[in-house]
Amino acid sequence: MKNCIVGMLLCCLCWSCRVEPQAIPYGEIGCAFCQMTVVNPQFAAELVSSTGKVYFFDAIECMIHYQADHPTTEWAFALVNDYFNPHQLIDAAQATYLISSAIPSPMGANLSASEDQFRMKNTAQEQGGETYSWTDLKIKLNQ
Amino acid sequence: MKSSNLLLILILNAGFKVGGMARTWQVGAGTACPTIHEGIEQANPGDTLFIQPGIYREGNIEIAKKLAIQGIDWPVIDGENKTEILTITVDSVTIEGLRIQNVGTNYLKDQAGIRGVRVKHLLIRNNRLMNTFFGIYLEHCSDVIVAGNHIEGSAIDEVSSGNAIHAWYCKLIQIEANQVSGHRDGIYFEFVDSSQICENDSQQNLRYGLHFMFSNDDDYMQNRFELNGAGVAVMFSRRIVMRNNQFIENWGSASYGLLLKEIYDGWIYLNRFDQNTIGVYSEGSNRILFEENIIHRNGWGVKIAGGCADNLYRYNDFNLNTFDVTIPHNQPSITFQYNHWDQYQGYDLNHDGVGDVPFRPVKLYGYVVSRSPEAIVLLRSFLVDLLNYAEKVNPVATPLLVQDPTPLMHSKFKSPRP
Repeated sequence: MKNCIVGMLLCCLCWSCRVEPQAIPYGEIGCAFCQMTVVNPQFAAELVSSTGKVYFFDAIECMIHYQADHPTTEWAFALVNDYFNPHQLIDAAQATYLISSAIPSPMGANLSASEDQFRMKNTAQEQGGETYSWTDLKIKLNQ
Repeated sequence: MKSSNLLLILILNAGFKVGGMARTWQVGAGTACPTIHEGIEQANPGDTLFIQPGIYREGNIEIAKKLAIQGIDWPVIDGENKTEILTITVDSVTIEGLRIQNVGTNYLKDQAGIRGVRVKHLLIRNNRLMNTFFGIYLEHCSDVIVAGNHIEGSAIDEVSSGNAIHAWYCKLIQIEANQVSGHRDGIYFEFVDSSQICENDSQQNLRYGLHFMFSNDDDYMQNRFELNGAGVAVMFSRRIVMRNNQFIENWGSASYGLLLKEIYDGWIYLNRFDQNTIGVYSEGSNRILFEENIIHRNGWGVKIAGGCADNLYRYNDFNLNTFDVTIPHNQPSITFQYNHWDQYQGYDLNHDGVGDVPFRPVKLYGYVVSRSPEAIVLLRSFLVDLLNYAEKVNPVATPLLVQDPTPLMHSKFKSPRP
C-alpha cells in the first residue's frame, strides 16, 4: 500500500516535470499573444519553455512577438505547422519561411512555414514573395 | 449609403435597358441554353439571365461579363464538394435568388460559394448558400452590397471550416440583413475600410460571430450575435462604431460577448451584453467611449486587462453580473461616471438621482479570482462575502481609484426577461 502511494507520487512528480510539446487543442484555446482562438492548423505554432510550460499561438508572427516580449525565458521547443501538411508540427529552426501576399496568415504578416525548402522556394517564385530562414525571419519581424 | 449604392446599380441597369441593348435569356432544361455556361457564353454585357428551376452541376462558373443572374424559384447550383462555384471577375454583376451548395473543401485554396475578385458594384442579394466552405468571399473589392442572404454551414470543427462572409482588402462594403451560421467566423473583415454591417443575425458559428482585423472607419449596428463559440472580436482597428447590437449567450472558458484588442477611438453604445462568460474584454484599447450599454447576467461584466488608456464608461447599466468590473491595477485614465450598479448600496439624500457616496465596482474577490482563477470554487461562500465586506470597509488590495463617483440610483432600462 505504502509502495503504491509512493509510486503514485513519484509518477505525479515525473509527469509534471516533463518538458515536451503537446498537441494543439484547436478551437479550445486562445493565442497566448493575441487572445484569438487558435483554429488554423496551417499557421498555428507552439512554444514550450525550459520549465515545461506550453504556450499556443494562432500564427507564427504571434510566437515571434511573444518571444521578443520575453527575452529572458529559455525555450525548450519552438514549433510551427507545416503549411503543406497541416497538423504536422516541425522545429521552427529547421523550417523555411515564406512571406507572400498570396498566402494571408491569421495576423496579417502573410507568413507561412514548411520543412520543404524546395517547395517553399517554388511557391515564392510562382505566387510572389520571399523566403527566409528562422534567424533571418526573426530579424525581419523584430525590426 | 445603402440606398445610394442601390440607386447607382438601378441606374446602371436601367441605362442599358433604355439603350435597347439589354436582352434577357432563359437558362434551363428545355430552353436554348440548358447550362449556365452556355447562357453566359451567348449573352452580351448588360443582359439578364433567368435561371429556371433545376439542378446545375457545372463545376466552377466564372462570370467575366457584366450580367445580372437571377434565379427563378431557387435553382440549385451544386459544386459536388469539389470546386468553388461562382467566381466574379468583372464589375457591375448582380447575383440574386440562387441556391448554391456543396463547395469543395481545400486547405490550400479558400474555395467559396460566391467569390468577387477585384470588382466594383457587385450586388449579391437574397441567395441561399448551404454547405459552403467559405460562403461569400470578397477580395480587393469595393462598392459591394451583400444583403438578405442565408448562409448555413455545416462546420463541425473549426479547422475544416471557412467564414460565411469573408472580406479581405475591401472598402465601401455593405453587409445587411444576412443570416449566417455554422461557419468558423460569421462575418470576417481583414483590411476592410469605410464599410457597414447592419441588421445581420450571426449565430452558432464556431469561433466569432463577427471578427474585425486591421480594419478602420467601419460601423456595425443592429446585429444579433448569439451562441457563437467566442463571441465577437474587434482587433487592431481604428474608429469602429458599434451600436445597438446584441451579444447574447457566448459561454465558454475563452468566450466573450465582445473582445477588444488594440482598438483606438472606438465608440460602443446602446448595446446589450446578456449572459456571456465575459461581457466585454478589453486589452490595449485606447480612447474608447463606452456608454448606455446594458450589461446583464454575465460572469464578468467588463474585464479590463493591461494597456488600456483614456476609456470612459458612462450611463451603462450593470445588473446581475457575478463580477461587474475587474481591473488588474490602478489605471487612472479609465473613468466610470453615471453608471447604474445593482450592487450599489449607497444613499441619495438630496434626491437628485445620483448616489452620494462613490461606488467601487472592483471587489476583492474579483481581484483574487483574476490573479488565481482557481479561487472561483469559493464563489458565493460566506468566506467571500466576509472578504468583500472587510475590503469595502477598509480597502487594501483593490484599486482605490477605480470608482464611480456618481452612481445612478435607478436603472433607466427595464429589467431583463426573468
